[in-house]
Amino acid sequence: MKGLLYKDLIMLTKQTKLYLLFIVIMSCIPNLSMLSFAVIYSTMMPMTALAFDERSKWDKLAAMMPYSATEMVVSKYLIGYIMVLSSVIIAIAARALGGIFGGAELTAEFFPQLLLIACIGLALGAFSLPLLIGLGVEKGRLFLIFILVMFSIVCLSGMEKVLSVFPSNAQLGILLAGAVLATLLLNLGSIALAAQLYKRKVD
Amino acid sequence: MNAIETKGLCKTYDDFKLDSIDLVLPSGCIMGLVGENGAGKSTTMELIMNTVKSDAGQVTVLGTDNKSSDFRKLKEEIGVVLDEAYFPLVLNAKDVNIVMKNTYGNWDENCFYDYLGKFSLPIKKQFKDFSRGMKMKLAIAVALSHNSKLLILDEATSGLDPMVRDEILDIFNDFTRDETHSVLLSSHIVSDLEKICDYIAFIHKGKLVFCEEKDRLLDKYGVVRLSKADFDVIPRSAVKGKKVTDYGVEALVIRDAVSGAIAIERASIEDIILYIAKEDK
Repeated sequence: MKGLLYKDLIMLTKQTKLYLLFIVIMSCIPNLSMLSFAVIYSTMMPMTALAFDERSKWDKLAAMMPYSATEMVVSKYLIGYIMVLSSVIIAIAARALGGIFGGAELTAEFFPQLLLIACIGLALGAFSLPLLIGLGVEKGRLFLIFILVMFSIVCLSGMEKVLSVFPSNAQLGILLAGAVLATLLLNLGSIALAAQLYKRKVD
Repeated sequence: MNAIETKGLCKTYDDFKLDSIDLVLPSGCIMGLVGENGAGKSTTMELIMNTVKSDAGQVTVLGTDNKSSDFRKLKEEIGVVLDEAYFPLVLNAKDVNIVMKNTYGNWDENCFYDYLGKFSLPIKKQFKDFSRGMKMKLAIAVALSHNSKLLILDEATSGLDPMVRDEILDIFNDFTRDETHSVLLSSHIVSDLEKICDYIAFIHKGKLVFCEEKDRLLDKYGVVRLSKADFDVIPRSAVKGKKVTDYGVEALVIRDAVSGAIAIERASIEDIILYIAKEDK
């Protein structure tokens, strides 16, 4: 599967330099909304990779190589995870450096917020990828826009309220653990579904 | 051991049916798969590689059932060139090397760069800027660079100029000097197939017309050019295809079934295929 990851990373680096720069800049801005956008943009990178694959009909060639359908699908999820993780690391690094140079500091409250944003981003990826893989990027994109709007309304705007409702550390811990567990389960289910859809599409 | 064996391979689509394909490609040999556009050559190759599910039939590749779990590992030893080289458009040859190095456990980087040099392919030019010939050469370089035992080539030489085609056919020929190496090659250029193939399989309208040794086909069939009166003497069962002109009849015949008194010319593989296909119309 390493070959598939290299292929996508090389393609994305070459084709979406501005997009990647945008993600880096937004991750660095000390504002949760900007960081949320950076994470959401990151979760959309697998869609870009899928669109490039469709354009070159890569799947047809990859099917002749020693890759399973599951590996083909998982590689796209991994690209999303790598991108989200990169945004998170950049955001932490930017705030750590900000603290040194007198800007926004890295505070203890930032980590749960960051974790929740990452979970929301990864959940968004889990919802969108089976659609994009099963329907193709063109058709899947329409559904993705709907999901994005719903996520923006429900999750992002409600996040600060949720955090204020659970002021104690214990409650916050439960919330975070629940979010991580839900994201994990959602992604596992999503991968299984996407793999089935991919197999059906190829057959 | 046979490199490829298919038995009763069937696949039905809405508008096309591939019907009971039986192929045997012995190791160390080259088989040419020939047929008109839409005859089922690419589908046969996809069924052999199990990238398309068959409705019926069995396929064994290098001794492994293509539906078994071992087949994915076996793909390491199969080099495939499709009718188009479907590499991502922004990748260059150097990137392709990185991707393939991490795809095939037995990837031979030096061999790949040797082929790039031999085919005069640029290393840093993006794939989208390649000509069709360059794209096919890159795909062939990849197929030959992971110590494959079997090459499956779907129209791999089309779009190449005659000089390069000849060079590549020589490479395929050299490849099968090792008796564990085999090639299944489909092409519209029947003269190419006649030049290098040991076996010819002819698929017509989704059905296998024949799968035989090339030399046996050339021995078996011949072409006669006769007046209509002389042609009527030939038994109907000996005639496999004919073309009636104002000057007489040209026909593909089974040599052994025709009287020795009649002059029989050598039939090329192209003659055999064209006469049989026309007769079927």
